[in-house]
Amino acid sequence: MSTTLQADPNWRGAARALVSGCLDLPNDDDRVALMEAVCRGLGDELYPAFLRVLFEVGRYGDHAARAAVARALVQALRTGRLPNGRRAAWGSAGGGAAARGRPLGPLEYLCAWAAQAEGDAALPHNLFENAAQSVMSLVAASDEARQLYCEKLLAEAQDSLEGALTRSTRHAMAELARAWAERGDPAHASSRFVGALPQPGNSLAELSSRWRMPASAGA
Amino acid sequence: MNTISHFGALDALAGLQPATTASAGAALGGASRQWFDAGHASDTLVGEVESVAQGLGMSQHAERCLDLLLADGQTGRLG
Repeated sequence: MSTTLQADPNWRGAARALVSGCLDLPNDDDRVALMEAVCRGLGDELYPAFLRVLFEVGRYGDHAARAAVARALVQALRTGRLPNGRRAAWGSAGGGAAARGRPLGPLEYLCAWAAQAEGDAALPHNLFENAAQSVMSLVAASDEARQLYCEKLLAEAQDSLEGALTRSTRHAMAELARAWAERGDPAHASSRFVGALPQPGNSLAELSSRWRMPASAGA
Repeated sequence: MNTISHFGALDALAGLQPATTASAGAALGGASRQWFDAGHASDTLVGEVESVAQGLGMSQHAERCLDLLLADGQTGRLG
């Protein structure tokens, strides 16, 4: 049985409720359990709704709000319990539960959504950047969370055996992680991801045009 | 030239086909993409505990969050 969103979900209210829980609960394990329970309640199909809640906190939250959730994410990253959702495994036929692949954390999910979904199902690059920047801003409220998440993304990018991410997605995700680790600038990191993706339709043309360019202006 | 070569040699060897990635975004008809549009004008979300949320347990906090998102009667499955 799948869950259904309200016609007009109260994103701000849900974000406030998540922040309240993260601040009110007495320990980090409970905070992680709260995020897990929200994701479980939504189910894989509505995992993007959880990302929308994180987006709300990252974009509109003050430092205290972002830090409250980031603190929970530190514990989640330390214990391998990052709130996640499953996308269909790469190459799987159909989208049923049996075809669903390994669970993906918030940024990994956004990367796969932007890079691997097709047509209307794909997350446009400008919206990917909005979403990823907000999630990164949220995570970066804790330096430790940012460092741990960068390490996780790089490890995921090097894992060629799991089926959820294509090689090109993993390459672009590694670029995002390196940029985020080096400069801590979410806008720079998200644009590095987009820039590292194969550019449909113009890769051969660009390559061809470069072959024809003069070696240098001064030659 | 192999048309799926940019997805990796292993994929090509396995004869995998790209694009059958049924996603949550697809399940939601793509509408969820617009959730990340930066056009919303909103005031600051303040990091403080709402008065009605003080002292609740983990499941109660989760239910408060889900109640604001899910259609009626779907938040009782947290078990």
